[in-house]
Amino acid sequence: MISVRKLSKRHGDRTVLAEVSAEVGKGETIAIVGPSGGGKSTLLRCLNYLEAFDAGEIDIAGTTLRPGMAVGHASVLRALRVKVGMVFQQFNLFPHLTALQNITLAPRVVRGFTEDQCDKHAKELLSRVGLGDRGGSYPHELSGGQQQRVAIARSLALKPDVLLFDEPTSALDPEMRDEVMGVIKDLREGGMTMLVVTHEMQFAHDIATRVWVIDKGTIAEDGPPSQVVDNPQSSVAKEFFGRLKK
Amino acid sequence: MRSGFVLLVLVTWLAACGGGKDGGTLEAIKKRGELTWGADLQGGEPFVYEDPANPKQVIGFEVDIANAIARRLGVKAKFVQYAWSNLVPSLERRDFDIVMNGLEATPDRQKRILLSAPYFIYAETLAVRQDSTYTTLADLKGKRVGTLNQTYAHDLLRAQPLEAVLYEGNEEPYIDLEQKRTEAVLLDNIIADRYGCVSTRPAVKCVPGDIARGTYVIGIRKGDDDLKAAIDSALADMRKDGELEKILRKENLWDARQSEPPPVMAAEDTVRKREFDGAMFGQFLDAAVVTLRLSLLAFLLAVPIGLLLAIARVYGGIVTSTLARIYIEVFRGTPVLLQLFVLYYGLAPYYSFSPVTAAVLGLGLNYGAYEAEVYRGALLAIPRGQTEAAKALGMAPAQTLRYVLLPQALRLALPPMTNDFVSLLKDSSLVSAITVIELTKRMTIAAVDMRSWLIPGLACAALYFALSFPLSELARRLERRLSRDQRPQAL
Repeated sequence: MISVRKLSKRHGDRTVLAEVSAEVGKGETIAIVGPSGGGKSTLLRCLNYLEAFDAGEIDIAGTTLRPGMAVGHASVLRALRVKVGMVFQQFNLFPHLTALQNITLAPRVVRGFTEDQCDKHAKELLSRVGLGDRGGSYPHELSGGQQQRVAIARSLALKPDVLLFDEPTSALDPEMRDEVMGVIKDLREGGMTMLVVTHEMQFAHDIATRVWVIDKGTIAEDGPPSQVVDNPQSSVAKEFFGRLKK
Repeated sequence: MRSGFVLLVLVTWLAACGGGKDGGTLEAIKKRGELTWGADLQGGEPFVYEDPANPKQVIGFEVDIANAIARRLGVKAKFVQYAWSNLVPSLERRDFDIVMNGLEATPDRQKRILLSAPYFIYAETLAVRQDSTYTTLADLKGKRVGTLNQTYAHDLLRAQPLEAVLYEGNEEPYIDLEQKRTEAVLLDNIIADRYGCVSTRPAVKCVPGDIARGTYVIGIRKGDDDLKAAIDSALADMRKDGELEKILRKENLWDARQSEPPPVMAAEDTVRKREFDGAMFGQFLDAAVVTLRLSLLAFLLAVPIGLLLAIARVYGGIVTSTLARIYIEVFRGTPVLLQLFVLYYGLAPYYSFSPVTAAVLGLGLNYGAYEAEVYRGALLAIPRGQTEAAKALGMAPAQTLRYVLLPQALRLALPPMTNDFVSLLKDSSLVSAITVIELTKRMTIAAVDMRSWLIPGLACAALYFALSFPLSELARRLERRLSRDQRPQAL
């Protein structure tokens, strides 16, 4: 589903990503963990080209991404983003639209579906994230956890092949985290391919099928949770999980 | 403009309080050795104007007459600059000793102040286009005829069933005549000979014969009968010893009329004083409709211009954003009155806009620059995450703007937009400079007709408020509806 080959990115003098290579199969749920500033979010954002990179290649959902596509490849990128959804730390719901309208906007204007088709699908999605009765609510009338679940439903509305989560629970109280984690877990059961940048030990351990530890722009460790979380090999992973366990 | 009404009420009140019937001015002049006289440089050549060779010095035939009179009184003359329409109230307020600036002898003025013997006999001259057949005012029934505001010519036009178009400058009436925006211009022969029927305006001709005659006189405060006697005798001496003729010849003003007996002033004004009756109220309503229509159309133009400019500035490349910035700085950095003049008179030789079109265009283009900055601020206030979310959903830039950014920007922009619209409503009074009769102009005309500012002023203020308040209220409701999540937190 995803193949990252020698992906590199610099910010001035600083190397953000250094020849990162990785493979993700269909239906996998990858937890991306590691110290702040290590390049986790940057790697994720390169996958739907919200950020450009300097070298390397990414095959994702049938599209090949290369450096320098920010200009002149707008339609390729738009088509890619329909297939690769993204959920943000700050939800980024559209405040002037209801929950239902937030979900139906992209299918209507990007995919050209009719309002009826979209509404029906959006209502199903809202039920799936446990908010079947809140379609008419505006974002400010919803709790953080509810907003994030609407945001997930919004990404799902385009029927993506891959979902990217950028610290989806970092802005939430523990109680609301569980709601959102629950939704992601359901998606895993449904076979969705997902990459989740997170600080949640429990998520990495219980929900992920694979864990990447990213530090200084490279994948320091890559393996199933039973190996990476319970029995880390690299010093970064040892230190990282050791600190979190305390 | 906005402060105009308050100022005018104040001036009327001060004038009423000032009174000034105590005399003694002649004595004071001799004591201080100086005769101060009020006039307006805007009247231009040949009355009183700045010497092109030495702009610090004023010259003109009235300067020469003032100097001659002062010399004969044994004092020096000192010119004082005042706006023409305020000359008489300022005289009454004792700001200067006398008025001399093409002041026409009228019954109404004679009731208010003392008038000297005439120093010049003028003729009202009708100017028309070369191909035109009009020769009298009666021929011009129902047509648009230009003149200067508050002149004897204006009184003559008001007594006729035609539409008087009012100007403040000497050139503009003739430009509009050339452009076929009016059918004729009625003004003093001094102005007509110098600004209208000249070689640079081949399309304009002056109708031979005088439509009417009148005299220019010096205005003196009531009670200063000794000063009037002194001035009259000085003028009589100047007439006798040929100094007056010499002065008038110098500016090429001496003609056969000056040797003929001066015309007799009518006992009563040709125009009767008007009351604030139903007909006048109707005129105020019409003017209010003009103001509202102009303002709405101009704003409907300003909003899309502002949106395009703001989008160009925020999202455009270097060329587009620089062009947008130049537009904004130019239109915001120069007076809207100037822009209206350029559009209406400046472009007239190339494209002749109607007054209302020029007004809507001028105000719209100008306010577009202000709206652009309002929308730019609003666009910048939207969190980055909104654009990112739209992008991540595969939306194209135009879709992101249309469905995500602009709806949010507009509700942020609503309070400053309401502000701008109310401001535009009042700024629209500037378009009277290009002959559109809107609410403020209607007030000043009514004030002259009624000889009072108070009732027209109040009616004008009430109508402006009646226009702006419902709109503010509408905007307030819209804002509440759109901004459910933006209610302020208690402090």
